[in-house]
Amino acid sequence: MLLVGDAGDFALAERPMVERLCADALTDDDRDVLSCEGLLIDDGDPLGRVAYAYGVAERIGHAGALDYLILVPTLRCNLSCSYCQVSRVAERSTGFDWNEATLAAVLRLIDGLETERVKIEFQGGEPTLRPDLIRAVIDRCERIPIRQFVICTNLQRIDDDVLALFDRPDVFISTSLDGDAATHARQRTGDGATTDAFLANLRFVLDRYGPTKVSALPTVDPARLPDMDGLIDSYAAHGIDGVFLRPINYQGFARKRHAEVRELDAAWRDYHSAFVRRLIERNWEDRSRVLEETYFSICLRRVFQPGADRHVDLRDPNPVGVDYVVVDHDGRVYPTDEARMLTRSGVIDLAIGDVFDGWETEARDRLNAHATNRFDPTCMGCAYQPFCGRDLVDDLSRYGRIDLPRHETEFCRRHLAMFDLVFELIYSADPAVRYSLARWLRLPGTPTEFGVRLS
Amino acid sequence: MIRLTLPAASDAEAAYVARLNTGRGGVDEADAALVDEDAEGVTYLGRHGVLAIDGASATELNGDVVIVDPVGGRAERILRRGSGHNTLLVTERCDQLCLMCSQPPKKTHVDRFALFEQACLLAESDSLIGISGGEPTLYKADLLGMLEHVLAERPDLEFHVLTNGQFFDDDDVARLRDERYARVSWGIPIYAADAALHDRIVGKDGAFSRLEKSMAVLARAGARIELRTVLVADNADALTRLARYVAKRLRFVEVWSIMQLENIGFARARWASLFVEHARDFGPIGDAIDHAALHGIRAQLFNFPRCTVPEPWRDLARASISDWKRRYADACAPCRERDACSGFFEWHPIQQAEDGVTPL
Amino acid sequence: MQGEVRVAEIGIDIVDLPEGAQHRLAIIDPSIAIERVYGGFALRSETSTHERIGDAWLCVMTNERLLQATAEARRIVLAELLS
Repeated sequence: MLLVGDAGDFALAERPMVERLCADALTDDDRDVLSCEGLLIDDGDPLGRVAYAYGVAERIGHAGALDYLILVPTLRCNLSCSYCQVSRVAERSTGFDWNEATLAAVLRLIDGLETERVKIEFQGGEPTLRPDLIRAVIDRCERIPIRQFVICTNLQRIDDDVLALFDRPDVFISTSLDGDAATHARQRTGDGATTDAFLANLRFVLDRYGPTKVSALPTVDPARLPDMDGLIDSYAAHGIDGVFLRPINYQGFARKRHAEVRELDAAWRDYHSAFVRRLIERNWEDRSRVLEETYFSICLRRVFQPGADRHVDLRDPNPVGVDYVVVDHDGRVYPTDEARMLTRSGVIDLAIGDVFDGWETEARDRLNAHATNRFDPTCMGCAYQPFCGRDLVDDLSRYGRIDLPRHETEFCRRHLAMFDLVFELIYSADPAVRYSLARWLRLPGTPTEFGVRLS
Repeated sequence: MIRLTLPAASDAEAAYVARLNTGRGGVDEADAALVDEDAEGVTYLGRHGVLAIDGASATELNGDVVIVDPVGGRAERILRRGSGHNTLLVTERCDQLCLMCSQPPKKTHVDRFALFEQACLLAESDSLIGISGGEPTLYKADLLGMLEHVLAERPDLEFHVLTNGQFFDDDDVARLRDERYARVSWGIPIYAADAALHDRIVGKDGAFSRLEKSMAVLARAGARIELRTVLVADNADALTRLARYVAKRLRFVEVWSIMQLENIGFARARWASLFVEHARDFGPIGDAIDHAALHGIRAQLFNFPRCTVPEPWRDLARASISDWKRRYADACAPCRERDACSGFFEWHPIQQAEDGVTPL
Repeated sequence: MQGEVRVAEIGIDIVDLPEGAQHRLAIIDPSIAIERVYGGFALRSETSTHERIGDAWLCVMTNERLLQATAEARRIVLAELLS
């Protein structure tokens, strides 16, 4: 049975010890052993108490000053993906780009940032339809010492202006690659010519910049799960080792065409776990590269290395509108990209303000009062609480409310499955498993064990 | 090897601090300006009178802060300009007797805190100054006082204090939270997770337990800690256990330095029984580093020539040996990683060094 | 055998269930039903084994006790950290 402390210390205990723990009848040996593992603190152990407090502090997320912006300069797009999560508009539409006033307000926002580092993601529509707006933002960030820009693009068309942006060392490219050419065409590009253009451009940027500058993410249809090896191969063929599996979510256009997705959550969870196991096999077969599924790796690192990743969807507390926001084509501000898409589909309005008047609003504060799992009655009895988090927007998008008992939400089911898998692998004796875990945890070698078994 | 103490003549009555200056850049009150130089040495003139130093040139000494001992006929180059390895030896007394001690303790103590304080105030800007001993915190009040005075006037300086952590207590928490201590890091040794083994290695009963109490104090004060573990035959196999202990109870340290043995002091006589041939079997060390890294503890290797560390851990091997006691084997000549490598201690057994290297 | 449903059951000899126990049991294993019987309670499941029901119950009771026993100390540490 898995024992987990507030600071994330964990150990596997045999039933007799748990029975003694239940009956408050621990032996001296039990106490020594548990104390060693940080699972028990004796009164005469000031270092143990400090270590516990420090460990808990490490688990508490810190949303500091605003330093991460997701900007949507245009809603127009030159593709029409079947699951489009953003309710995009056709390329020739008008009135769906930042106007002068909105651009000015965004630049004022950047001027007001009080931070040494900034990360800005350009989303859309297709942001490369407005390279001038991207450039205006990038130029305005010049005064900030550490800058990182990510352009999320479908890579259908790269003109000179766009290429000049890509060439900047502080610019990174994020694109969608849904699997083999047939899958990608079916879900995104439609005809052969469009698909070929994308693949040629993807090959072009990879050759020009190498894989560290380019990331690709697959959107997977839970109703039509792709062959795992086919998906992995399409990434490996491009020299991309990181696969961030994302299921189609029923928002925006996706909602209209994929109403049955709600019923497929369980199938998705099983697929995700099987995918991770397949990566373990493939990494063992071919040691020349290390493939990983990004979200599983984030969960894995949440167990061992608090603070290693700053993944805003999995942290606790997870307040909205504090350290990062989304600014839409019309200047409205949303807490997450999912919230923006959800609002567009007309289900619920999740805007927390706009870029003209700000977003320190009652709406935001109301949400943030519930942005933690720490005092939730269900989470308090869950062994994974120190590693897990809270996603208000995900709850709202599925159930229209945030007060469902946690274990009845998909967020909880999804993370129970993820962490069940994480701990199953932690305690696996299979050298192939240990090898992949060590690589995903960025270790020099491979440790003899990842988790302790108490005897 | 660079000489730190030189013969010197001075008419002053008591020891004093001066900064040596060739005079070209302008001279200030604390400086002794160059007046003469010949084949044997150099002569300076400052507010303490004439100072003649043998065995070095004006160029070598320019900018150095020295402590002149007129009675002993010596000038010590306390803070050498351009060196990243200046260390102040504040006492030779110690309450422990480590098996491998590189600076065997003496019973007497010469109080030079006032001189050291003056010297630090003259240090080059942005210097990192080491403090060592013996055990510096045997004179905790003097030590903390000196650090606080210097850092108040010279907030550009940083200190790294080597201490066995036997004397910190609850009263120190408030004091050590002062913002000046953000520029102080404490290098604290721990040899094993097992109290009996650690106590035996440091030659003091109860040392481990007392160290844990100090660690609790330092953690509460938000002190910056460099944990240090010297690798010896006695603790080599317990290194992974120590890694797990660090990952559980000492997460607040900035870094964990795993150090290869220095062939000086007590270690010299005991070399054969203490030195671990890590090049033959890096396994236990690699495993300990992996366990530390697993839990987000940053480990680094000091005094490990890079070619003796297997590739997965090689980048953790730092150029750690002070310039004045470092040398390379002849066989190192073609190696392309010399600049990043610690090399060997000046007093490392020569044949072992020559046999042990493989140029990269 | 056809038509027969196997039900695993364990008996609990206590007078009253601790407050959160039923809720927590449902979270750990929704297939377990709790029924008051003479002398205490019975935990039954058609899909979980005898051993698994026992494990689930042990987890629930242990967590109940630990949460209560450590509540104050944990609250103090958290309050210190957040202040």
